[in-house]
Amino acid sequence: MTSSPLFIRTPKVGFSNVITASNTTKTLAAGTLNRVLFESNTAYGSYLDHIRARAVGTNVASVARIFINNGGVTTDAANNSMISEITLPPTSNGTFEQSAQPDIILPLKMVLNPGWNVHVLLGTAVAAGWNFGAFGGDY
Amino acid sequence: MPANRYPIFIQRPQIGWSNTIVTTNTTKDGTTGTFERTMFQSGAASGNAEGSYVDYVRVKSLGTNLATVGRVFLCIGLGDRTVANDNFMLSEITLPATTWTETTALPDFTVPLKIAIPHNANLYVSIANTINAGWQFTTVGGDYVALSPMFVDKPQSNFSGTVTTQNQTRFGTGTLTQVWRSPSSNVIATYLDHIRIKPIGTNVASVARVWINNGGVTTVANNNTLFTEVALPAITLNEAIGQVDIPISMKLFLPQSYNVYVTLGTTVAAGWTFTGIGGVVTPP
Repeated sequence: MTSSPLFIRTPKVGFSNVITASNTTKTLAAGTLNRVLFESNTAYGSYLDHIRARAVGTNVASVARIFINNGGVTTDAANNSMISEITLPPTSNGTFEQSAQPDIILPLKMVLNPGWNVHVLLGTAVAAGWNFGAFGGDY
Repeated sequence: MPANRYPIFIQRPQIGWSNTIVTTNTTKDGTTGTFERTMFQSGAASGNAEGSYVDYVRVKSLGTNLATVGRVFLCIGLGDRTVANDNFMLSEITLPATTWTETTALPDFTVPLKIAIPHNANLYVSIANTINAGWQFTTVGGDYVALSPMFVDKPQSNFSGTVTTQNQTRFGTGTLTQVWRSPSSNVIATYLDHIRIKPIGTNVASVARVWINNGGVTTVANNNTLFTEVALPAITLNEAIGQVDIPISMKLFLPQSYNVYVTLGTTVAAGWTFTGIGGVVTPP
């Protein structure tokens, strides 16, 4: 048993690619996945503070689903768990690009076991796409 | 390496800024168009590879502008700005149309970020429309160096002397008046808590502008950034009534050699004095 707390030692940031396609799986086990959003350190694990979602242009409404995977193959549903969803509103940069789109922030503040991964999927296909950033650190 | 049992703290402040940005770049993934210089790079202040903390981005209008959107991007690990997967748009901010005057302060806009970023990751910005005078973006944060926090261990106050003459430059060039100095050695940083402004007699209305300089010559615009400004009211000397104290909250850790200057937008008769109040962080 340890009598002192554990702190992150090195900041870690992960990005999804710009995502436009939908994948309606609720287990992460089917369909095409996007690249891993956040990879936990393999030695002591990592801390995931929050995920930031940013529209990169005009989109219809959608939903983002966040999954954790235990490092096993994603095609086995037993290795995955959906941990949160974010409602993504329709977005438009307008003709003149004079209004900012909102930052959509999903606070997670969770620890991840060593070697675990975080994935993100969209429920509805969109035109311009969404980009996701995950912010945390390695223990 | 054992698991880390201690929290990490910044011990080298880092303040970096864009040049004046006037040209449109509508990319949303950071991969196309022309970007201005890097504002902030993790490790640049310390040479360490421990990562950095980005507190916020200050956005200031440098003159009369049309409305636009400012975008702040993060590029990871000296990545390639032409590769979408290396870049992420952190935030956007609506920047309204502005009209420059020499007696009224334009607002300070702030993009709060409060994120830790890995070594070599860097921040840069763009605006969505070509505008007139331009905007400048300044990033405030610091490099992680140590497992103990950074504290002021010696007070420091600097003052300007009486300032009466206008300097209407929009780039921090021309004649400036120094109000704060970070020594170039024997300190880790200085902390500027606030600047106190006092009239010393009868003055017409003006505006005070506060500039941060990186220690380079102030005649080069990219060595300076406009950090904040405050309207100075018309003052009539009165020997029975106290005149107003005008404090400007700064709350900034400044790296070695960084200085703070002030300018007036309109020449005044009696003048204003500026006093910076804070402290010094010395090496252990």
